[in-house]
Amino acid sequence: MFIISAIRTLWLTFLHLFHKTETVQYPEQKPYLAPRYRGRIVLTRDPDGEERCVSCYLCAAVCPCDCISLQKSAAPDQWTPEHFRINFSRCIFCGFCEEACPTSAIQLIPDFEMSEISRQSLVYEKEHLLIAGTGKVPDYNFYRIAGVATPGKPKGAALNESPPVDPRGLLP
Amino acid sequence: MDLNHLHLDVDRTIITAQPGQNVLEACLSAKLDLPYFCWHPALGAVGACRQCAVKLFNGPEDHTGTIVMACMTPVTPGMRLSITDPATAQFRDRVIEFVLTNHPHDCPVCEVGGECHLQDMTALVKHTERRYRFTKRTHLNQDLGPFIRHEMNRCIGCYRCVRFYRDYAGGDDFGVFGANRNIYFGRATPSTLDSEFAGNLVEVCPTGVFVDKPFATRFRRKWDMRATPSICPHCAVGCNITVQEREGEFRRVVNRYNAALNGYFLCDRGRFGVDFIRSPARRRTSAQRDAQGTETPLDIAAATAALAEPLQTNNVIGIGSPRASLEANAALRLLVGPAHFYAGVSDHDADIIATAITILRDAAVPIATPADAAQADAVLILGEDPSDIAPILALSLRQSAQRATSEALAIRQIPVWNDSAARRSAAGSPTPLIIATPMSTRLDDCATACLRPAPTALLTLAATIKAQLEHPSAADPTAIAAILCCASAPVIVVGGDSALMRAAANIVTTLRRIGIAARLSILLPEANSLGLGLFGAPPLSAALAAIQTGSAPHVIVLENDLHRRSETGPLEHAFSHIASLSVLDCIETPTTATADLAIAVGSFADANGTIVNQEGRAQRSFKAIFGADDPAPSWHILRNAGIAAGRLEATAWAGHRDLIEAMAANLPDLAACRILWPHTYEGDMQRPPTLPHRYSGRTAVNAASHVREPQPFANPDSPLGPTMEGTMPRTGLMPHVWSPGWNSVQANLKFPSAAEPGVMLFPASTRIPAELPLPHPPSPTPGILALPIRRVFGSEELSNLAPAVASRVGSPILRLNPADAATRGLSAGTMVDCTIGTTTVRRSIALDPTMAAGVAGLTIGVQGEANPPLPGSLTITASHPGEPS
Repeated sequence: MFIISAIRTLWLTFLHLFHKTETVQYPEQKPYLAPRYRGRIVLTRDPDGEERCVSCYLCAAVCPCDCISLQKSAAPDQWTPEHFRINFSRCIFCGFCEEACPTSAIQLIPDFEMSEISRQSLVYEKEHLLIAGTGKVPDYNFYRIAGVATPGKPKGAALNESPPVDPRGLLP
Repeated sequence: MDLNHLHLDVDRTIITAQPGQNVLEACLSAKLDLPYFCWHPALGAVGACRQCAVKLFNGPEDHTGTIVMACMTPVTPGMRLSITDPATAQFRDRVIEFVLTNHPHDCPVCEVGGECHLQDMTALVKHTERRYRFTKRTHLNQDLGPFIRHEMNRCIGCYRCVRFYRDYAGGDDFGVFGANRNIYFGRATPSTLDSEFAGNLVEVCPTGVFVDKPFATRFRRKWDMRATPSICPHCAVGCNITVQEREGEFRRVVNRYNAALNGYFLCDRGRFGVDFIRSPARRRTSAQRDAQGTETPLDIAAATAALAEPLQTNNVIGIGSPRASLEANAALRLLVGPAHFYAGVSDHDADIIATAITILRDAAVPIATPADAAQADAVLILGEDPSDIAPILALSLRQSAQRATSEALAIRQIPVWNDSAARRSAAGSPTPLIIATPMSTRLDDCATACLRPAPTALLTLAATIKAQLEHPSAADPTAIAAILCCASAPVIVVGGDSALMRAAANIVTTLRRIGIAARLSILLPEANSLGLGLFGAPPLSAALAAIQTGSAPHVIVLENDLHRRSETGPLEHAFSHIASLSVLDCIETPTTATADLAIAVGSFADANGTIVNQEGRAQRSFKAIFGADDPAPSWHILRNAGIAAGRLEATAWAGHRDLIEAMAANLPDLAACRILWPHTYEGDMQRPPTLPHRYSGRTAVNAASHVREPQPFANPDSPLGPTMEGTMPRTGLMPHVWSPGWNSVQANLKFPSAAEPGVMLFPASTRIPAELPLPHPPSPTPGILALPIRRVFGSEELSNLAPAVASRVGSPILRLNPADAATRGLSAGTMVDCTIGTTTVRRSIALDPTMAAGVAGLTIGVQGEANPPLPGSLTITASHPGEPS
C-alpha cells in the first residue's frame, strides 16, 4: 500500500509541471485587496476633523494579544486619548478592535506592507495611527449622539434630545 | 435539618434562605441572577423600581401564580417561586425598556461603563432593542465639589442616592426635585456636597450619575487596574479598602466589604485621601544635607550605607510612628534596642493610647465594632465627636439612632429590610443617643439628648452614671443611667481624655456586672496608634530628654513629623545636641527638611504592612503599587542598613514573615499577627491574582521604551500574586469581587463571606472586666481650657496632601461660647492669636452657643503648622493682620 501511495504522490507532483503558474510577482504586481481587508490599523477622524477615538478602552479589552495600550487624557468633558499605542509586532490583524469600537475610530485598512528590520519600529503611537479622513464610515460623529455636553454642544443639543428640564417645574 | 434555614423552591430548585430575609436577598445569596435597582443590602428595600419581579405560586396546585416584587416579599417556609417564568421575564424586560428610554448614549465616555449595574441588568434581562422613538429628556449638571462629578442625564430614578445621602448618612443638602419623568437628584443650588460620605454615591448609584472626580482625571476601566486589598491609613477605624493601580500609578480607592467595620461604605477622607500617594509632597529621592544645608541626592544604596553609619554605634535613638506599620516600627526597635526606642507621639496621645491598652488588654473590656455600634439599642458618647475622628463609626452610630427598635418592628410586623416602613416606625420611638461632649457634634441632629459639660464636669458625670448604676436609688437628673439600664446592648463611645476613658470603661464594667451586654468604643488619634502603643515605648518628650543627656548622639526618625508632635522650642533645643538626624519618610515634612539624611521610603501602598485599629484588630495591607522606581519599604531599608552596619540580628529577618516572627518573639502582645499570614496560598500558582483576568495592553504598555516585554513583578512577601496567574478564592482575601455577569460593585452580594476580618489581638472574653482605678481629678485650668478639634478634612497628615481633600479644608477656627467671646470683646470671624504653652497659632473665631463655658475648641492638624500642646490653658490676643503668627 505504501508503495502505491508514494507513486501516486510522485505522479501528482509531476502533473504540476504542466499546471498554470500561480506565482504573483509581488511587489511589482499588487494583489487585489477588498476594502474590508483587515490590514494595518488606523485611527480615523470624525466628519468635523476631530479625533474620533474617545479612549473608551474597549479595543484594548477585546484585543486577544493585548497589543493596544492607551490612556484617557485628564479632560473631563470630551474624552480623547493622551497616548494610543499599537504594538504591530504582536498584532494578529483579527479586527476585533474595529468591531468593538463604538465610535468607528479604529479601522483596519487594506495595507499589510509593514515589514521592518527592528521590532521596535513596529510600535505605532497615536501620531502614526491617525489619518486625516473618516475612513470607511463617512458620517458618524459619536458626540452628536452622546448625552454628555462637549464644547459647542450643550445639554439637550444631541440627536433625539429634548431641551434640559427645569427640575423646579411640576408640570408634566 | 437546620432549623435556622428555610427552604424555597425557585424554578424547581431548592435554595436555602435565612428567616427574616426577603426573596431577592435569598435568591442573590443562592447565586441566582435576579435583576434589581432600588434595593441595596445596607439601605433595604422600598419596592420602587419594579425590576425584581418574580412569580409566586400559592401552593403546589397553583399553576397561574402572581407576579410579586421579590425585594418586598418576605421568605416563608416552602415558598414556591419562578424567576424564569415567561410572564415575569417579559415584565422585567418592559421595566428596563422604560428605564432606558431616557438613558443617554454615553457608555463609551462614562466612567462607570464596564462596572455599571445598569449595564449588567440590561444584559441580564437580554434587552437589546430600543423601540421608543421620541426624544430623551435631559438635565443640566451641578458642580458638586472636588470629589464628585454629576452627570444627571444618566439617572434612572431609583432613589438610592437620596436614600443613602439623606436617610442613611443624615445629609440634608441633597435631595430630589421635580415630578414624574423630570425628577432631578441634586442640590438646591450647585455647590460642594457637605456630607463626608458623599463619595459613596459613586458606588451606591447603579449607573454613572455620580463619578469619582479625581479618578476621572487618570481614568482606567475596572478590568484594567490591579486591585489590592488594603487598610485605610487615615484613621484608627481601619476600614477595608481596595487600592487600584495601573502602570505603577495609583488610580483610586474603592470600598472593600468588611461586615464588622465599614460594611459597604467609606468616608471621603478614606476614599479620596489616599491620593496623597500621587501628591507633589511625596518624597521620591533620598538626600544627604551637609552643614551648609546643601542637599546631595543619594541613590538607595548610598542612602542605606549612610543610614548604616549611625547604626554602627550602639547609641542610636529610634523614634517610631503611629502612621508607620508594625513591621517598620518593629524593625527600628530591633535595630536600636528596646531601651532606645521611643514612640513619636505627644504626652497626651501617649497617655490616651496607654489607657486604651490598659482597658483593652488588662481590664478586657468588650469593645464595640462599628457593626456593634449600628446595632446598639442605646449609645452614650463621652468627650469627643466621633464624626471627625472616626467617621465610619459615626455613620454606624447614626444607624443605631435612626433604627426602629426590634420591639417596635415586631409589634407592627415590619421586617427590618422594609426600609420605608421601618423608618416610619422609628420616628415615634427613637433609639437613645446621648451625647455628652464639651462642644457640639455633628451627630447632635439625631441625638435624643445633648449635654455640654466642661471636661471636669464630664468626669463627674461619668462617675455619677456609674454610681447610679450601682445604686439605682441615687438621684438621676440626667436619666442616662436609667436609659443604659433599660438597654440590652448599649455602646459607650469615649475619647479625648484618659481619665474619662477609664471612667467610661468602669461604666461598661458596671453594666456588665448587672447583666447588660454593654460595649465600649475608644476613639484613638491615628491609624496605628494602638499598634505603636503595644511596643510600650515612652513618648517623644522622653526621647528629647534622652537626647539632651547626650548619651545617644544619633537619631533615626521613622515616618514621623516631629513638628506635629512637640512644641518647636524643646524640639530644636534637643536637636541642637545631636550629631546626626536621619529621617525615613514617604512625604516631605518639616522634619525631613531639617534632617541630615532624608530617606524616601514607600507609603502604605508600596509595602506589605500590618496596622492595629482602635479595637485591637490587626489587619494587613499589601503592596498595591508596582512601578519601576518604587521606593523600598522602611523596614527593607532599615534591615539593609542594619546588615551593612554589621548587625547580625538584621540578617535574621530577610522576609516579611521572618520580621513578623522576630517581632512576635519580642512582643507577646503582637504574637497574634503571625496568623494573619494565610499559609494556604504558598506557591505562586495558587496565590489570588491582583491583576484582573481581562487586564489589557500587556504587550504594548511598555513598548514605547522597549518592545520586549519585561518580566512580571515578583512579590514574594505577599500572599497575593502580582500577575494574572493564580486561583481566586471564594472566601477570605479576594482582590477582585467579580461574578460572571456581575461587573459592578454589587457582585459582592455573590460572595457573602468574602470579608477579611483581621485578627483581634485581645479576643473578647466572657468574664466581667476588671474595674479601673481613676486618677485624681486634675486641678482646674486657669482661664480658658483649649481642647483639640480634629476635622475630617484637614486634621490628618497624609490625607491633607491629596489635592481633592486639601481643597475641602476650611480655615482653622477657635470655637468659643458666645458669653466667653463677649467678655473678651471677640466676635465671630475675628482673627486672634491663640497661645498654648509656648506655641502661638492664628485662628478665626467661631461661636458655638451650646458650648460649655470656660472651654475653647482649637482646630489642630493644620498643614504646615506645629500642633499646640492640647488640651491646655489658652491665652487669646488680638491678632495684627500682616504679622506672621
